[in-house]
Amino acid sequence: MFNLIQADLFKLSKSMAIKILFALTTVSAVVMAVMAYLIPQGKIEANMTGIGFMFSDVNMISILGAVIAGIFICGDFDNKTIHDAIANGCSRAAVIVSKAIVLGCAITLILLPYVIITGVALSTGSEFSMGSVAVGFLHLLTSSDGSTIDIWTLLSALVTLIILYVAQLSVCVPLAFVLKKPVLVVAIYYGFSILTAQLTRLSDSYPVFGRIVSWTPYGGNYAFVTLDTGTGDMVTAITVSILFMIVMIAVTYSAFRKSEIK
Amino acid sequence: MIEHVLKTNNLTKIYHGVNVLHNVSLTLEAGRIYGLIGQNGAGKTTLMRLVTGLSFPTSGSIELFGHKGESNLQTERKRLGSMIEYPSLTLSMTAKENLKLHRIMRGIPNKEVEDELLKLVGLADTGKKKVKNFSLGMKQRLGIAIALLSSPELLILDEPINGLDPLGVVEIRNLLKKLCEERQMTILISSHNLPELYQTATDYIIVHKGELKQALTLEQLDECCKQHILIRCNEPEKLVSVLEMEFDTTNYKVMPDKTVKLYDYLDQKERVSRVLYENGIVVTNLSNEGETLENYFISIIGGDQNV
Repeated sequence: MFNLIQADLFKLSKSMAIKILFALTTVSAVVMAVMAYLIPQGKIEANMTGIGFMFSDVNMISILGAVIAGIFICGDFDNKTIHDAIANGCSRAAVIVSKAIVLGCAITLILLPYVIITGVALSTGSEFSMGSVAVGFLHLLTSSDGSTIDIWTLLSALVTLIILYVAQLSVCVPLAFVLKKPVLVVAIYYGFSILTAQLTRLSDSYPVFGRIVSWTPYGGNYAFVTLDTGTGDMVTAITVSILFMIVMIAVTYSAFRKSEIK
Repeated sequence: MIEHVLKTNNLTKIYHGVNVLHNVSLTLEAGRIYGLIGQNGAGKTTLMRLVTGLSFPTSGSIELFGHKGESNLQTERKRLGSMIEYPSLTLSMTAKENLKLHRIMRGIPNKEVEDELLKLVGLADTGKKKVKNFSLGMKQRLGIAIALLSSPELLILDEPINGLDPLGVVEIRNLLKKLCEERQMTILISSHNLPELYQTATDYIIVHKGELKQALTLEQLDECCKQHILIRCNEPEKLVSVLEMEFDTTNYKVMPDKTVKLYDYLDQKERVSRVLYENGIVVTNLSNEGETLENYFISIIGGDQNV
């Protein structure tokens, strides 16, 4: 499995797609931070928050994360890399786990601009705002009151959000292994992410529903981590995320274990 | 020591109710080149996919290097090299990068093997050219190089000479023969180019509509295809003595059905006929026989169909 991960990382390093996606998230993260900085100063109208949200991490990652899954998993079905691994004695479980790990690395990589820009912006002590639409790194950025930041608290919040995003996108692993078509993976995941956002709102009316969703990385207030979030809540978010990823890998394995590889 | 590298027992594969492979039992021995012959849809690729673990048999079993069972097969597959349907290539990479990717994937530490294989398949001078700009033949060569990365003991190649130019075909043929002779590599190769297969393989496996029709060696095939005069008569014993006395030849063979295959005097059929008549032998058939691999294949599958 280590060989498979190493090979995929080599492939990742040679990929033009990942460089383009990285550039896209870098530009988006800058635009997001600049807009969140200018809105409270009144230099940009407050009704521009919808556009600002388009550049936010939650929106970009919903699309680009699924694109990465499409490229690196479905693409490997197209170019027969997965066929070759199995024909050369790699277990299907090893293939799935290695793909999930590399997908996690790739998502972390394209999230890095948001991580860095959020960290840098918070350290300036300035005021940021995107109205009521902020989630994820944008929420972390806009929820700060500008007071002194504890570096370890900031790092914990950033790491928690990264793990949360990777867990959310782990749904793309079974999708990619079963559907094998990047377009379908991107479309279904984007639709799914919108659906989960709407469903989460239902938990206000139906607490039972809320408790069920809180067992997934889409529920609770996991995506609303701030610098004031307690360690216990962060540990809960990370635990739920890791368990969810394990479930997704198990689902993928049960679907792929005996499937024909065309 | 186990002589056979691959053994299948009553291997059957059913796709959506269609019997794609039916009770195929065959054995591949070490150091031989097996030509897998069959029409489109005969089950050649399915057989290869089953052996390489890309597909699972509906019934029957596969034995690789004397080992059975899914877990053992998975381990033994590390001794395989394969290129099925089309090669496993990342188009945005160069030939060397593709080899590096697969070398890392297989855990081969020796980096020099990349250049050696590129040279071996004639792609040493492709430099920074991306695989997406390669011709079909170049991609096939690279696919073969990837299949050879781990010095496999069993090499499975599905239509490897598709898209190769005549010189490339000869080069690949010589390469396969060399690998077989020098490394005792067993090669299972399918091709629609039967004359080419005839020059490459040492054994032939003919499949038709999912069934194994015949497995024979090159010698047996030559015997079946060798040009001869087929003589059928009322007194085969007398015929044999006339051949030896009058034609001074022992280059004939009496077949189980009492017909005689005469391998000499192929262009003197009239003389043969006259001499037999003069010796009182009633000949009921005297015809020139002998086939090409294509014709033999068609006769085995029973029709004049597209190979």
